[in-house]
Amino acid sequence: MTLAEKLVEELNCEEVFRLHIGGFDIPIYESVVVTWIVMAVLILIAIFLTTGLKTQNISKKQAFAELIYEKLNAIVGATLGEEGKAYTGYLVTVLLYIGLSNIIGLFGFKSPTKDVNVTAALALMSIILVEAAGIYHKGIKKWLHSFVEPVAIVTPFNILDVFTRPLSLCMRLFGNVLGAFVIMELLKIVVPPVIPAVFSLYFDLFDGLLQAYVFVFLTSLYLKEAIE
Amino acid sequence: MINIQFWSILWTVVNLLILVVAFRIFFFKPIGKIIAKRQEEADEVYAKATAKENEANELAAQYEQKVAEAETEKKQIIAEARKSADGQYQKILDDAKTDAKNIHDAAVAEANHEKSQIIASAKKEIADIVVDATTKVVGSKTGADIDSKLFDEFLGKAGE
Repeated sequence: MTLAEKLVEELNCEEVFRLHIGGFDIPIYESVVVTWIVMAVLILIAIFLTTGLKTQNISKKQAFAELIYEKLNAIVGATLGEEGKAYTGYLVTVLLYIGLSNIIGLFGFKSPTKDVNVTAALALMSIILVEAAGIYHKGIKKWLHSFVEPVAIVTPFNILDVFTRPLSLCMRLFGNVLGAFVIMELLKIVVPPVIPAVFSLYFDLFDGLLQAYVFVFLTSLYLKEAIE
Repeated sequence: MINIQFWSILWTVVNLLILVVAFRIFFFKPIGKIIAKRQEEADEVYAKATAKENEANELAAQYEQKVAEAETEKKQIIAEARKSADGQYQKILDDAKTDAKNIHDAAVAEANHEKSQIIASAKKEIADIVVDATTKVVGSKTGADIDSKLFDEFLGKAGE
């Protein structure tokens, strides 16, 4: 098997099984199955961390849970501001989901974010949330009017933004994960024993978490812009 | 995988929505609640402490006032006591003075009285002696009464 074939195989997202619900024939791909694993891990950790909460004499576990809660809220809330507080929950969840998805490759799974459909879905949800929040906070009239701001001539670009923003979000995440993966595979073939481990720290761990942060940061930036 | 598959996108959206709801239920709500509750408890404790402090300050002020009152009262009582003691002293002194004067006066009066008695008895005795002597000298008893009278007159004139 040549390197190219191996890469393509690694990149392909296999269909795992098919569901037959009513008249639909629904294929379930690897990325969805791994997403379920990621969800299960996150939810189990959340349940584990939030059992036996007390107000006084807290356990180390609870202190850790509260630290994570505060830090994550602070990270997302910093860009979102006071008006966007209602959206921190969603953004923190997305941050955790993308973060774990990006680094789950370390545990031998195929990252869901290596499937462009997953990143597309994330970007789609982001832009729907942003526009919906804009309509909710400003009202339809003002929301429509925001397309001709600051001057009428930028209207086409503003409309284009609605499509380019999710596209860039989607492609940035997908491209980064894919790129990191390809580079890591190449490194493993070219300089096998120790060196890939060092680079793995950057490409798998750091870059994975960074891209999760970038995705959430940009979404919260759009959100803030939309609700202001 | 670069081909777009509708079902994968739909699944991911559904999964994400489920994850968001699950996280709200299992992570954000309980921790947010416990932090709010702790804040509430801390506020309560703080309010209680403030109330206690105020109470303590009030009590301290009350005690201080009471001590000051007691001090004034003490001074007043001492002043009164001193005043009454002075009065008593003066009275005793006055009484003593009066008594002493009375005693002195009585003594003087008695002494004078005794003196005059002594003088009177002395006069009488002298007169008797003189009469006796004269009687003896004269030898007659009859003339003695006359002479005694004469002598009295003489003495009375001489004493004046």
